[in-house]
Amino acid sequence: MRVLIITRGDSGTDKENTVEALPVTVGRGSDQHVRLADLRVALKHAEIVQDGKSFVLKSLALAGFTVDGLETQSVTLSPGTRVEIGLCTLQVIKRDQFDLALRIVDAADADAQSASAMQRGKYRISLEESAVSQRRWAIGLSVAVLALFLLWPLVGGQFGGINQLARSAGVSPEGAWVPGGPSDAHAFFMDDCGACHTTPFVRTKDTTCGNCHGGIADHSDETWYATHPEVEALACNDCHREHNGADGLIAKHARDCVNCHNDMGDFPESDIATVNSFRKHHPTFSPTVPARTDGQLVFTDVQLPFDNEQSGLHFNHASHTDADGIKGPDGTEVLACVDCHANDAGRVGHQPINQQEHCARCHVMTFDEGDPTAELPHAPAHIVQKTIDEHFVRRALEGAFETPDRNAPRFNPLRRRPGAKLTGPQRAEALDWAAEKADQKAKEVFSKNVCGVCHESTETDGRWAVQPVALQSTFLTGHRFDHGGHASMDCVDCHATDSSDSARDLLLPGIDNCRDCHGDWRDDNVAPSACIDCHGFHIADGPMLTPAAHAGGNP
Amino acid sequence: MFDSYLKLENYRYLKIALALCLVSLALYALHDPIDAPNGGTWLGYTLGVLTGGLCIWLAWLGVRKRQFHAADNVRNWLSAHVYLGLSLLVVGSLHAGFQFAWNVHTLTYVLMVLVIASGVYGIVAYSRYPSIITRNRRGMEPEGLLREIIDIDNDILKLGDAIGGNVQEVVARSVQQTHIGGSWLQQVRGLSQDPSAEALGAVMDESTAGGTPKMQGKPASASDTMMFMASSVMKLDDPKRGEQLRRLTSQLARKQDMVRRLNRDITHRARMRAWLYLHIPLTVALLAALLVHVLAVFIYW
Repeated sequence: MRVLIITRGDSGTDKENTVEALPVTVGRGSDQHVRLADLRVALKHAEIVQDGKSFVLKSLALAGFTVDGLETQSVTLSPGTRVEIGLCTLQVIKRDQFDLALRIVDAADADAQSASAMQRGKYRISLEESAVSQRRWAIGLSVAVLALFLLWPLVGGQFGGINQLARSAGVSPEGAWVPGGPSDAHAFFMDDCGACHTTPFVRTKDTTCGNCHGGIADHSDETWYATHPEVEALACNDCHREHNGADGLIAKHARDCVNCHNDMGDFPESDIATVNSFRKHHPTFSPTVPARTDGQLVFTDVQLPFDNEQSGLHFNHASHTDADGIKGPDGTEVLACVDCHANDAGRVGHQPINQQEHCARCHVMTFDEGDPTAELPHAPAHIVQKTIDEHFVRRALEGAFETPDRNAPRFNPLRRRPGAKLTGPQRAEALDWAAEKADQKAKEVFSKNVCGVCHESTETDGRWAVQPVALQSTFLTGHRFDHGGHASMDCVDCHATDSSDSARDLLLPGIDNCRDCHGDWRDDNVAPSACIDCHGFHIADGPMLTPAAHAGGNP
Repeated sequence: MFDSYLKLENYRYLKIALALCLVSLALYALHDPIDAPNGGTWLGYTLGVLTGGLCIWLAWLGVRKRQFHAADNVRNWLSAHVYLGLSLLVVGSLHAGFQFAWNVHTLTYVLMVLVIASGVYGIVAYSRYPSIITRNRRGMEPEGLLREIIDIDNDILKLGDAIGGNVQEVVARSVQQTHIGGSWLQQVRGLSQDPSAEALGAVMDESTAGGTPKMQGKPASASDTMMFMASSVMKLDDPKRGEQLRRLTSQLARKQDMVRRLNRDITHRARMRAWLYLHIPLTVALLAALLVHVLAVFIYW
């Protein structure tokens, strides 16, 4: 067992002693192997013993010693271990041929000044002397901020695995940049900033939106834009602002539209009225209705209330919807609006009125009391008239009545002998009867009894014509109304059918009727309504219905 | 002295800060953006530029106060720094439109609030502690106190050595384990441990003719020990040893008082300045976050 002890000799050079046996003693006493002069050291302060293969320094004094800043009574010695006893240090070094080698620095060897400095150095009496450094904290924190929130989101994608791992743990590196709640519509790719933000420092381009939304119609066409470049310059995200919450993309606020529409002076070519609020400043409804000029069907815009809609039909809403009922084929029945105005598939509007389906059950088209089985077809007037003509010719030729009445032909064909033919005068007489009868019946049918019940008809030189029917699915062009969305209301709450006995009454409510419930976006105590609830913006080639598309009757 | 900067020029900067807050609040109240109030409206950008600019300008104080030629003006700067810094609580919040989420933008806001909060502590600490420190020091500087304590240590080590036996060891240990200051947290929290009292207890035992050392026992209070020591010393037969013990006792008592005073001073100074260890690093982190905030907004415009 060989332990080497190196101390500083008198001349400042190293002095080496070798101890051959354990324990090696450390203290201020003259009998110690390692003699320390510092008064902080006890006479017998510590000893080195063997514990298995390693050497252990054990304190014999109360003061113990300090290793790595911690006070202790025992420490295992290995090369590099540095033990402080008082102001002295004992350092374990490596030296061949020795089991243990110690280098001793005794405070008593130092001069007074450096001893004092050593003593002073033990104490930290201000925060500046503590290990905590403002500068290190500042650099550490800011580097952490830059690394986590700038570098990672920017280049983290280059190391796919990291981002993948983070996302699986519910952390989105890019999410740190997202300034507000994502829209529901785009939430599924919210981590992929580059999907929309294609060029740094440049706002999202319309072409990028078009990658997915390419089929959307514009507000107007190229010709119009040529004179209004300021409108053409509008970007998708001027109205559709992302990172604004779940439904923030929807341009609900009137200002998105009113920015232009509150001063139509910039658009002298337009006949659209100024609007800046649904509740306070919105044009009254001007429905487009059918009218007849010189027998021609035209459409004009009118103001409500209006009682001269020329659809070409007669109809009494009040009697049809009478609460006491109306006479039907099987007795009295009470009709509901929906019996004729059935919802369309999307419950937005209604299916067209159809004569076969909605009228024919009650309004049977028999016309000849002499032949109650004969019915007219629901067909163009000339076919109806031809049917009447042929009917009476047939009857005349058949002479099909048992009891001649005053209207019957003067001869009775049934009494003809078999094989006998009508004579010329007889045939002429029968045809005269038929023609007279047909004319008389046509007048009844077209003007009063059958067609005339519903249709407006005119007669010219004995030929009858039915006015073309102009039934419309909507009267307010440039807007849409969702009937399904108003299902909680009764039809008569808006459409005054109970007091209307003429089809000329336009049963549309005015804007005040809407304002009973609807106000502007964010108005209090009313249903908030956005411009786009009724009007479209993307209308250039859009589904906006033109009057011509609505004209037309039944099959 | 420390309060005077707050009243500078008849509260000039308080008035400016209040005006800034009121104008911001009025604009915010009148402003009716299409979407919810946020940093991206014209007012949002305006308040944002103001907030960011003020953050940088306020941080500049750290540089400015180190510039020798600016010494005269530092009180002005400090006054403006305090009031305009506080006004950021209003202006910054309005810029954010009170929209907070788990993102770098809110991080920036939170850092700003923490910087301001630590600054508020600083205002209080700088108005409170200087007088407390002066009262505690009684004219001594901490370095002077420490030097004197070290001198006493060297003296009592010699005395302990001369007395020998258990006393030497106890004295050596008390010197070794004298706790003055310490780590950042220890300085701020303050120390309660006082090995001098324990040493006094041991010396007392030695004085009463070599009783069992009460190393593990709870040390008696310093005044108890002193009273007991005084009577014990009288009873000793060996006058030289008696003199040594008397001197040792007196030095230990002196040291005990000085260590306590120094530790109190250290804790006062630590508590007066601890906020800077939040205020300054958080300010630098805030500037980093501010940079990221602005870049994030405009890179992905």
